[in-house]
Amino acid sequence: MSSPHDLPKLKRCSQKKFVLWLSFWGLLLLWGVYGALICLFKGLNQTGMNNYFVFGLWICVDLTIIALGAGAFFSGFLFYVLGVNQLKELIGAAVVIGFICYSGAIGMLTVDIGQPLRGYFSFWHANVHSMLTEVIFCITIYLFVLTIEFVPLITENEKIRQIPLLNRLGEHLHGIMVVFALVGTFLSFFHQGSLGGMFGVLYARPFSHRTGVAIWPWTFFLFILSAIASGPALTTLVVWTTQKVTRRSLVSRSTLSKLAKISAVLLVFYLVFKAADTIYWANVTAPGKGFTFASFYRPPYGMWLLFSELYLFGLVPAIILLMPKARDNDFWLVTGCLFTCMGIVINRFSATVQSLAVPVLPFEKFAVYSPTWQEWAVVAAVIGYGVILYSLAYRYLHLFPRESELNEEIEPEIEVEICGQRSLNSVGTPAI
Amino acid sequence: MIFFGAFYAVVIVLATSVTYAAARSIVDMFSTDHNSEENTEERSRSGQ
Repeated sequence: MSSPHDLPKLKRCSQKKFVLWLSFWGLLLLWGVYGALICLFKGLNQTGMNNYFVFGLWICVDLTIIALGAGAFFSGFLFYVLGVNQLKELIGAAVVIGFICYSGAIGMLTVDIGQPLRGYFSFWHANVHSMLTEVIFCITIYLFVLTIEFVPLITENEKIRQIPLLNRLGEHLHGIMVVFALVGTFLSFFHQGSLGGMFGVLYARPFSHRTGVAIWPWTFFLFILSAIASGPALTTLVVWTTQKVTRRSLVSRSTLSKLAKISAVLLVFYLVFKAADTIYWANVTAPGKGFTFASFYRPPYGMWLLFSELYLFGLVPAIILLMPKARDNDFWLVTGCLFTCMGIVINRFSATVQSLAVPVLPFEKFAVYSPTWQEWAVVAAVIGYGVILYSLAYRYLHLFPRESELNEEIEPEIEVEICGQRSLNSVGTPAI
Repeated sequence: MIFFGAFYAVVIVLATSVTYAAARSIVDMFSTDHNSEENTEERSRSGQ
């Protein structure tokens, strides 16, 4: 956090343009709120979930955005604990992205549990034998941690920093941020793992069940690895997109490249362990329960899911992002990061939906799940909410400490003569 | 029990840290105001 005195004035687009930008996402949010209200008032019969699919689109998206939000805790861990100072340039953005992901996931869960008023049951009547209990406890507390990490960013706002108490609170919270980074790492490590462990312990579902070490199935570790590999990829992608949409340089290219490289290295580790896990499961675990590998993959959830997860959206982005020249090229950087995120989407989809599609009793059929518009609307609401919050944060807070420095040379106001009148024009006028 | 122990430990660490930051902010704010009041008084005494 910079001292309030050295914070430069933010150069942003006009209010009119910004409201226009927000209105589109606002409409998406409203549509989602409408869908959520229908589900809350009429019940979960409004969704595509049934006795086969107790987990649907919402849990799939929840797991995905929680994994993608891991960029916040992992960047925080690298910056505050391991001292990777280069990440200072985008740590603020990573926190905001993490906050959006986690708050969006919890908002979606509120609709998913059907009876939000009984949401406290998971805390008050906690089933200590369930990995889901650990997940719900850790996610809730981690959202508090992210909120605390968000506060110093908010108190840097031009108006808010004029209030002495809030200004000092931001400074003092920032001073002990290493504590929050460590707590965040601890919580994230366990809830990412427990989300995977939750599927790995389902011994009655051979598609999900895995062997492991002590009480932790291998999926526990695979979920942690995949989250810390994909989180930085999403952060890179969002920061790059922000630069393009706003037409401003926000972080140095080397920082984006470094984050993408971290993502790629972790992705390689993940793929090695994932491949080993898949081979052992296909040859030992599943046959031991009387299933063949091919019996798990039937249309529409065919073998293409596994291959696209491991190769197209696994190995390919890892190779792309490991090459320094590719990382320096916008097209390949975005492709690599986007593919990494897509890989996580497919992985979490397989874990939630495909697990439930595979029959486990002789009279059951291979089931297919199709979400209703209400479910898509709630997902759209989370996206709308995320874009709105991120846009507001970008407009009013100092998310990128080097923004002014990086735009100094390209944005001096130059005089342009138009129709004989001298007017001021700026080269770097932000779009948003 | 281990789970609850770890969970409450985390909650206690968080609550202590936030309380520390909040308390220090309040103390700082008042001590700065107090100093500035003293400075003003000193300046007025010395006729500046």
